[in-house]
This record gives sequence, structure tokens and C-alpha cells, in this order.
Amino acid sequence: MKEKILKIRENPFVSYFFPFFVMLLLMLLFAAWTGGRFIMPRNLTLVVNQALAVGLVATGAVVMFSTSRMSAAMGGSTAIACIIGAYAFLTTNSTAAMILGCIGGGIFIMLLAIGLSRLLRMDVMILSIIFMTLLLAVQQWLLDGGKNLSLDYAKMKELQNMNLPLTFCAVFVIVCMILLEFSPFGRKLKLIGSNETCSRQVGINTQRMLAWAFLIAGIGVGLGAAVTLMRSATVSQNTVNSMNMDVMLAVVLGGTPVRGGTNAKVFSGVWGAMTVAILTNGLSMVGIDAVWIQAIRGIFFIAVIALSEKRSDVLA
Amino acid sequence: MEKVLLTCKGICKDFGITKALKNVDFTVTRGKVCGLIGENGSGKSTLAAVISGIYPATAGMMELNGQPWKPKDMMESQRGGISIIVQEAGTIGRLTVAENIFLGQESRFRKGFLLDYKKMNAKAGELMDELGIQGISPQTRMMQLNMQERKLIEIVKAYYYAPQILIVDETTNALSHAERSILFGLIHKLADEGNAVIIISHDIEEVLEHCDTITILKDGELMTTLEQGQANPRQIKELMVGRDVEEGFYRTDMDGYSEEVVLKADNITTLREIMNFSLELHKGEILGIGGLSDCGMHTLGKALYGEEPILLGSVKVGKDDVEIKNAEAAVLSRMAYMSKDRDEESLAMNSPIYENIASTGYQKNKSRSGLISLKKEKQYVDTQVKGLKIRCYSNHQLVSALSGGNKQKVVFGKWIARDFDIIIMDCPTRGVDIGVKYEMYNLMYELKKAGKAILLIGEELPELIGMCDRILIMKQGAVSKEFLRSPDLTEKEIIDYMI
Repeated sequence: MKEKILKIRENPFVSYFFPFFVMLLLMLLFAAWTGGRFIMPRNLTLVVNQALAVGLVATGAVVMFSTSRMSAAMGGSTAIACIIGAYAFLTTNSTAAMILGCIGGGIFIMLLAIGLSRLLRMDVMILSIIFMTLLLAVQQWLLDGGKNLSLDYAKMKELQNMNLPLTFCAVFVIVCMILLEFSPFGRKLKLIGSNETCSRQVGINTQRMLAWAFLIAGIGVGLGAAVTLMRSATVSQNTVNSMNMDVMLAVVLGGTPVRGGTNAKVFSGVWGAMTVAILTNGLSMVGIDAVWIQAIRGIFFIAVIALSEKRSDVLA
Repeated sequence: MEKVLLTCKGICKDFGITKALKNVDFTVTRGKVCGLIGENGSGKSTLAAVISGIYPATAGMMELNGQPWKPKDMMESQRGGISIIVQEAGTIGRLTVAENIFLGQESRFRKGFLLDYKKMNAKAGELMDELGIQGISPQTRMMQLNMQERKLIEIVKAYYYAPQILIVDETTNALSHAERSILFGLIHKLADEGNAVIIISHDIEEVLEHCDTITILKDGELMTTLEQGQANPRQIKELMVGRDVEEGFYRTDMDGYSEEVVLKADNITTLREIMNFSLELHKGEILGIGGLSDCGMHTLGKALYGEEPILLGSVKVGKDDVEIKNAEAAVLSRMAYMSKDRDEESLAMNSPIYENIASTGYQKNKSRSGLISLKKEKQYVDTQVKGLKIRCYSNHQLVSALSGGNKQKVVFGKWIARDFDIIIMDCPTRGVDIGVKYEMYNLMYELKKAGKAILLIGEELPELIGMCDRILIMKQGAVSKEFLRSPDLTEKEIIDYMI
């Protein structure tokens, strides 16, 4: 019996889809708790919409996390990308310019992070903590001390009606999945996350690969920012202020270990984002106060990290 | 009558579905040095880990001095009188030598709310002097020391606890001759004082020379325990492996090699150890590099592979004289490198065997679409796992869960899987049992016959004499003597040029 359980647990297929079943379980729990209101089509559409921006940023983050580099500034980066995209739209009145502005902004910030990390020989995580404060200041400066940037709501609604957020998410996740799971590129990234010296010795140019990983994370940030603009048609100091926590929680809940490596899974971003959205929405529907929702999410985060570390120890 | 110090009865240890120990009975007597030998994965290190509190036993009981013995961890074991020098890194890189020696015992050096580092460093220096260790400052950070020096510090740490039982787990293969004498000096000192020592080693001659009893494990079961006078190397090897491996251990040919130079180092000087070093490696040649551990041979391996910055001179490979400046260029020039520091450099420990072996074949296993062909990749990995008889229940088993020798096989398999032309092997048979060594030597010879060039860096002189076409002996970063392959070449002749 014990042998069977172990074999099932170590099966790559099982470990890949386990978070998906956790997500389903959570959904059923809230369905029962709310007397079925939670799984009404309208609410499920809302949950999916809430999850899209986080899913995009988290999917990019998984690619970055796979190299064993964590950033605590994903939220700040998304906010800046939103502002750049908003200004691009306001200047040109073009939605294409807005999307490109968001992506360009995301890529620029992420490449700046990895570039500075290399130049200053500083850990990305430490640097991202500094970035968090820095980006907040830049955000304030770009918003001229806290003013709101309003976009043309009709045009944003048009993009939503074209199902662009869902399309962005589907295409980005599929591309990332092919890259990370089935191409030499992704396998090299995971090996870097597992042991950088070892990967260098098998001939991998680790610096070049890291730059590519951060570039992809930047695209995720950019697309996440574009989807946020499409949904809200406005940018303020509070835009995506819970993104940081949501992304970290999504990646971990989705089954990617915080230390990266070969266990990083692209679907973590999507399933994790869905789980976060289900958790937030479900708790809110059962009448839990917003402050308590934050606290519960925090406890969830710590518990999942502790469990995933414990699981690694047992397997080792 | 002999006084029993430790008794293990019916010890079992399971790792998931792997049964590492099956009902092992083992006794340690005061004043004795006990040898524990067996193939890779036979359960030697696991038994040592159970005794020293690293792992709890799944079943069975132990008694130390007649009292039940069930240490919760290594620290409790040390306090109770059992110390272990583990097979791989057992120290913390960012701490100093003194901090590592007194880890968990810092309160001894408390001065009010602070620690008296002066006193701690002085005590560490004193301990090192007692063991005859020179040239290491107690204030040096561990990460600045090489592998041999780190092992010496572990020996000091074990000595400090004045153990009733000292377990030495495959430590000697990481040490040079001088450092081995320090270790064996300590072992015999402890035994003479009425304590006991358990030595785990693959070096049968060493075990026969230093141990009073020799216990042989196979597949997690105790085969037999022999007294020193009863055993001979051939009999032990047969008990370990299950077949006669005495004949044909090393190659016996005098085939020679091609004149074509495939790798040329021209007057290279590195930041550490190497000074104006030149060598030529030929197609179909096994070139041995030997010397004392700090002679620069390990740095040389890295420098030739582009892993150690070269200040002066150059390393060029192939007919086109491609200059090797980094590992990426080396791999593109069909070079491979097996590092001596297995766990830190050669393996992704928390990844499966599959990912480790597959890591050298990403380009080779690509399909037409540019993506990895999982079928090709599986075959690439399976060939090595089966060929090298890596003991695992699945290719998806984590490398960290393998025994030391099986980890080494994964490293070997990873590099052999791809058809490289130049292979730098830094102590490739370290921690590998006699049966696998035999297979590895056969494989090296097959590679040589296929025209591959091998640079074999080794601390085992019989291995260099037995396998190499030429041997370069290094001393203080330069070549002190070159020996050609000869049936008359002896260790004694070589040692004169090492010291």
C-alpha cells in the first residue's frame, strides 16, 4: 500500500495535475458553502476574469522561478507597465500602442532587474525588494502625485468583447508550456534552477538563459498589465496593489516550488491564479470581511510553502 | 573478555519502496577498528547514518554501553559519544573553520551576551595542532578551503567530541596521502584509548591494513564478519560483488595512441596553483595527471575545460585550434568534464536521475520540430541507467536519495551518454565499489579504442599506473616528471616525484 502511494506521488503526471484537483476541491467546497451560488455561470465568469491578469503574470513568473530566481516586485512592475500602456494609449489613442507599451514596459523592468543583479552581483530577490519601494515612487511620479488616468471605456470594452484577455492568456500559457516543458530551452532553465554550476558545466550559457527567462517574465507582466487596463479602463495608485501577493500565492499553490528547478510547472500560474480567485471570491461570498480574507490568504501561503518544503524533505 | 560498546539488532531502514537495510545485526567492541564494506547501495552509509542519528531506523533496536540507543539527530549522537565524518560535505561554507568545529557548542565560549571568538579560534588552532594539521587558519571561511581541507576540519570536529565511537564514512578517497596519515593516526589513537572506530571504505587494502574486523554488506543484508587474519582481498571482493573480479581489473595492453593532438595547453597560468603548464593530449590516449591533492591537478582540469580563468597562455582543441575560454565553448568542441566535487558541481541533487542524465543530450535528443523527443530522451537515459546498473526504483527517483556510488554512476552516465571526443575525468571512481570500478575501467578502455582522448586526474596511483598511456606527475602547479606506460612502473618510483 505504502509503495503504491509513493509511486503515485512520484508520478510526474500526478504531481502536475494535483494542484488542479485542489482547485476543483476548493470550488466544490464553496459551492456547498454558498448553496450553489458560487458555481452559477455568472460568478464563474467573474472568477475567470479575475484570474486572467494574475494568471498571465504568474505564468511568466513560473518561467523566472524555474531558474531559482524570485522577484517580490511583480506587482510593482505590472503597475508601471500599466501606466506606460495607459500613456501610450492616451498619446496615440491606439489600443495596439497600449498593448505594446505594456509589454515593452514589462520587458524593460524585468531585464533591468536581471541586468542590475548581474552588474551588482546581487540576489534577484534582494534587488526586487529594493525595486518594490523604487517602483512605488516611480508610480507616484508617473501619476503626478496620485492622479487617475482614465482610458476610453468603450474601446476597452470592445477589446474585452473580442475575448482578447482570454486569448492572450491561452496563447501565452501554451507558448510557455511548449518552451518550458518540451524544448531544450525550458529544460536548460530548469537545470539552472536546480544547480547553476552543474548547468554551466554541461555547456549552458547561464547568463544568456537568465536574460531570456526574465524577458519572458516581462512579457507576462506586460500582458497582465494590458488585461488589467482592458478590465478597469483606469490606472491609479491602487491599481494591481494585491498583484504581488496574488502572483506568489498562485505560483506556489499551483505546485511550483519556491526554489525552482525541475519541478517548476507552467500550469502552476493558471491553476494557482484560478485557486487564488476562487479563494478570494468564495470567502467574499460567504461574507468574510476583506481584512480577514487577506489574513486567510497569508495563512494559506505559509501553509502551502511549509507543506511543499516538507514534501521535498520526505522525498529526499 | 572483549567489551561490547554498541549492539545493533535487526536494524531495518526503508526509503519509500527501497529497503536499504534488512534485519542487520552489528556489534562494535571497545578498542577495535571495524571495517564496513560492500557494493554501492549495499547499505553501509545507511547503517552508519542510523547509528549516528541521521536517520531513524524503520525497525530494530540499538544499545550503547548496555543502554538503549536511539539518537534523535547527529548532535544528540555526538553528545552521546558517537561522531561521524560523512561522505560528502558536512560543513557550512559561510562559517569559519572554528565556528564549524564548535557548531552547537558555542555556549562554551560565551562571554556575557557575546561569544569570545579569540578563545574559540585559539582552541580550534590548538586542536588542529594536536592532529598535525598545518596551514589552515581558524578564521578562514570554509568556502575558501578545498575539499581535502574541509574534510580535515570534519576530522578535527569529530576529534573534539572525544567520541566513544567514530564513524569514518568513505572519507579517505577525498584525502591525499599526508591527510590520510592524519586520519589513520587519529583512528588508531582512539582505538588504543579503548574507544572504537567504524571505517566505511571501498579501498579493500586500506580496510585490511587498518581494521580488526571486516563486516560485509550486500543488498542491505549482512553477509559475514571476518577477523583481520581470516580475510584476503580476493575473497572479500567475491563476497561483495558475488563473482570473481580479481583478473583483468586494469587494462593489460600496450596499444599506444595516435599522434594526432586533440587538446593542447600552451604555457597556461591561472590565478590559483597552475604556473606555465603545457600538455598535449592525443587521440586515443588516456593521459593521467597525478600528485598530492594540492599540487594543482584539480585546478588544471577546470582550467582545461574553461571553468578556471586562465591569466596567461591558452587551451586549444581540435584541428582548427578552437580556443577554450568557457565551458560552453568546451562542450561545443566536444569536451566533457566530470568534476571531483560531485554533489556541488556535477549533479542537480534535488532533481530526478532522468533530468541529470538527460542534461547532456538536449541537442542530441531534439526532434525535427526543435522540441525534445521524449522517446529519444527516454532511450538516452535508460541506456545509461541499465548499462551502469544504477540502483533505483525508477528514473524519476531523486538523485539525493541515491547512495554515493550510485550518484557517481549518474555523473559517469551523464557524460558517457553523449559521444564526446575529449573527456576530463577528475577522480571518476571516487566512492565507487570494486564491481562498478571494473566496469568503468572497461568503458574507459572502450572509449580509448574508439579514439576518444581521456584526461584522467587521480589520487589513486594504482589506477593511474593501470589505466594510463602516460602519466604527468604534478608538484606545485607544474610537471615534475612524465612516465610512459610500462608493466614495470611502480608506485614508489612515482611517489618520489610527488613529494
